[in-house]
Amino acid sequence: MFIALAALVSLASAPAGSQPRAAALVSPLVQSKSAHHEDTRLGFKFKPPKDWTAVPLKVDENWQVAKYLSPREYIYNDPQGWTWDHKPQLVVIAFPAAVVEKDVEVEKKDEKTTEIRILNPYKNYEDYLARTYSGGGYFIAAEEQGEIEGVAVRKLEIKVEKLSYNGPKRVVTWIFDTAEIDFAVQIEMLETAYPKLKKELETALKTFRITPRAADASATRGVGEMTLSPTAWSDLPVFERRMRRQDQERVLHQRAQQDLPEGWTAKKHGRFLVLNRSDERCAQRMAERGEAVIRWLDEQFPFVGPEEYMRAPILRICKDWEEQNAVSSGTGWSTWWLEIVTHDDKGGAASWQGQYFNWRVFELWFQERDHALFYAFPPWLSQGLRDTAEDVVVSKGKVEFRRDSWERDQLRTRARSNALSKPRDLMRLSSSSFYEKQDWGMHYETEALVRFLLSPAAQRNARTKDVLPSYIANLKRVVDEIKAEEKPAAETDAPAEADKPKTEEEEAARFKAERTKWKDREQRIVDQTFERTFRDWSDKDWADFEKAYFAAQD
Amino acid sequence: MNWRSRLICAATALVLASTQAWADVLLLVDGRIVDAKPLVREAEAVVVKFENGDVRVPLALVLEAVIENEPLDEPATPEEAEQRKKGMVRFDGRWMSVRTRDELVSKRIAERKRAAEELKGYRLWRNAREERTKAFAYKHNVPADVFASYRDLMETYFKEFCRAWKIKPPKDLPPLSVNLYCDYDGPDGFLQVSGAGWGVLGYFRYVDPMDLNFYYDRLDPRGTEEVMFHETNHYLQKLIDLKFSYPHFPGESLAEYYGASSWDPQTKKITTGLVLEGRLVEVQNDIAAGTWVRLQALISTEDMYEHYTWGWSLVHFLMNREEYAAKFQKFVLALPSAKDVKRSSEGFGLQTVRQADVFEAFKSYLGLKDDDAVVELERKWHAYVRDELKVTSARGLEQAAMTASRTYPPRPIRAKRLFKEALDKGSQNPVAMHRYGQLLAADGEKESARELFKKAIERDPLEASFYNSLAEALPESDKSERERLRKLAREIDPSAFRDVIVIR
Repeated sequence: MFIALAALVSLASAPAGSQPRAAALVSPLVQSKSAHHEDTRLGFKFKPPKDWTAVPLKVDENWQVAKYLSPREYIYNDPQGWTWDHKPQLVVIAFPAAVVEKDVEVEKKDEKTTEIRILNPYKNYEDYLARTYSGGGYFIAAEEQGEIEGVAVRKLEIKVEKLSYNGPKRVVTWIFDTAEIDFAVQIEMLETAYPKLKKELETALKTFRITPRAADASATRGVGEMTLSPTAWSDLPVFERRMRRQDQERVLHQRAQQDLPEGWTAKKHGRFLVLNRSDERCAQRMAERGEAVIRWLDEQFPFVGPEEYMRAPILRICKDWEEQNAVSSGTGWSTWWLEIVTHDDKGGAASWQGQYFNWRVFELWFQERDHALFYAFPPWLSQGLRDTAEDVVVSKGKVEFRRDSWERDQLRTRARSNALSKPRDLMRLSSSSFYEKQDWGMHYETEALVRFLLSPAAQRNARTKDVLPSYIANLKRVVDEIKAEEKPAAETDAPAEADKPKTEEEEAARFKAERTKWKDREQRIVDQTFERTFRDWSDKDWADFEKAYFAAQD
Repeated sequence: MNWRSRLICAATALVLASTQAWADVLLLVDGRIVDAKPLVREAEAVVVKFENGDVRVPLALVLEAVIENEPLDEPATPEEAEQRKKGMVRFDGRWMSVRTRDELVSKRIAERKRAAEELKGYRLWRNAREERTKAFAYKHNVPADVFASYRDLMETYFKEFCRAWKIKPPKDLPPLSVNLYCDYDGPDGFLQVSGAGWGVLGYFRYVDPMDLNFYYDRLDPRGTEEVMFHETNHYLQKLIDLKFSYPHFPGESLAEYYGASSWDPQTKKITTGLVLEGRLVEVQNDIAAGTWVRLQALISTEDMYEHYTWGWSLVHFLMNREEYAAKFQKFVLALPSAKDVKRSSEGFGLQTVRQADVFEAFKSYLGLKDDDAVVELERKWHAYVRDELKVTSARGLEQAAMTASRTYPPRPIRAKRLFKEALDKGSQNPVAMHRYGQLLAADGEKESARELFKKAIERDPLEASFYNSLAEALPESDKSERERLRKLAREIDPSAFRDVIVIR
């Protein structure tokens, strides 16, 4: 029997089944429209603190069922003289008994294959906290039992002291213990804010009530496969994969819109589903820039995954950085694979958020079209493309690549100290050899090289005009060839008994070979791609290229 | 749903789940606690009556066993038998009525229970115990004896290092906050409370508020000492100049050099500069894979992992060569303040030296006038690593074997040879026995594997994974015993098997 251990992570990566699961518990929100937050599906309600705003949950969130953010920032001054700010946040997390008691799902796929999914759900609030909290070292400073209208409540006060991100914090959590679902209401704030907020927060916590649940509360929501990674379904025929991606996109877009709290708008801009809490013009500008970038990528690299369906990204534009952080936190993966979460920092394309958005569009496009190719990019291309993409501006629908002044200054400094690499040397570096050099200034050179290849000067020259698409096309061929070579070995199980080392010497030799195998593979990809792209370049071609490239850096 | 029914004692490393209300409590010397299971006292052991079998815990591992309604021992002498007939028993060296004895016993049990509860409570970080000396302000949730040994060690280490490096700490320097945790990743353990990321074994926070954090590894107390020596050394380096942050080399390498110190608790004497066999094994692993780290690359590269491994070997070489030892110490002491060393800002009001400048200073202070001199020193250092540094102790052999079995690709043939050599040298480490057994079992040598698992269980009868491995090594035909042992393992420590499934 062949056993496929398909998933070692949480429920998020496991396909939906008929069993009750946490995914079923992401509830339609009724938030903020009245003073109460009420969830009829899971059966609870409470009154959030005054003026706190509801924060949308990730589309594949499995555990958090409500989230609120304080309108007010609190300040922490650290002993080094830095000032940090933080907005208190309230999160409700649901622990359904049917889910937390479940460890594995076993599915017999066919006669030979049984798929065992290790679900590893959170057993209780403490387990959830230990596995998800990243705000610093913490301990439970106080614990008390209580009761509210017949429901047992465990009240925890948690102190976050050591290595705390942006200052020591206090987490106050009340856990409402019911037969079918435990609800943890968790409020995190700076320690310095706690004395001011204590009374108000206790008042809010005391409003939490268990209410009658809807009849279908434990039923799945029919969202289909929840694995959002672009590698999902890679073993299926293209047409079927396309259908699955389209189905998933439809379900997730629907969910994203129906779960939207008050104050947010949902609108389709081209292929982007824009969920917006900023102004409409900002949404329009971003979506237009995203569309232009995607059009440019389609035109430049039509050979990259032409048959693949690119799921329409969800663009969430938050009010500010704190809200962006709050939206991005949680247990799902959608903000990694499908969503772009940002906020309007009023800086346009050149701002931090503008740059982040630009790169995410590039990243999603390549991931969706051909993730294997994307992950095989050598550092001059991956780093260079990233930095170049960040500086994209769109003018009259056309994409332009601009150089930022910081990069220009860094390159000049390197040029003055004769530290600038020749482009062909840069292009011969695999990831291992690039990072082993530990020369961080080379990042600026990768950007300069990619941007030069996209520049009007390079585009006018017959020799350099198609270098970038040609290089990527060759890279794809090399990667495909190597994968085809490796396939027979990958399909067999562990090395055959006859191939196993019999002596310590044989074992040492195998060890040495295996340790360099990955580096050798990387270098082989780089060398073969380089060779195929530049095989007919003469020394004069290189000399001309270098002359033009270095001149462009002045 | 009541979380307590599944997770009885959040404050313990060893979680024993049961719905039965047994009041017996077993405290182990290493800090583990077993409760909610009936206990029976025997001559040389305390027996824990699990639902899936009895587990005998040798008295050497037991700190305290509180057993309610403990029955009377059988009379041992004719005199005792005679007195017993009169309703008298001997207790605490005198004869008394059974009733008086029972009252006394009840009183003592109540006291012991209170003490046990208190000890359990100390596992919670909120109840952590504190102690302050001139050098250190300790906070810990480990057993008192365990703490005392580390406290004595740290105090001696502090004095010895200050003496050897001629350091005079400022008089108004407050004691350094030191946090010692009861375990690594359990509730109120090192990862949770210190905020360190997975894989980190200890850390010293070198900006205000400075503090030092490490944990007690009951399965590897020697490893705990190494981490403590290493992290404390960062603080001691800091005392050379409080406004200076030592660069990764020599900072980490020197800390590793002091990691290989040994401590005699009887004489309270410390010996520094021994061979750090765990790091030597890593160096040897690199060599086996064809990598020899170059001297210039090692010293002039920022934040290199090899500063812990090859860097340690370089410091060990320099400190053990008369012609270099004094020069090397002078080089280390020169970095914070010498006029001929180029320093730069580290942030937080601290100065440091970039690795490229460290290399320049190294060459200057070691008297390396040209590239040939650098290469010559490198040649001598590499020869020292190849010819003079050896893994010789049972523990070093165990570490080498562990590394060989867990590296990628694994080297099981080498690992098995090293484990055997470690056992031949008298290793009593149950973890090593268990791992060796697993390798043998994987090769089909199930009988030998079973023997090793049983020996491991004898040494640590409350380590759940040993029972699970023994179950897997039993013949398929022995179904009921396999099943019992699997269940016993999960009963002893349910949390150890959260991610593991058994395919039947």
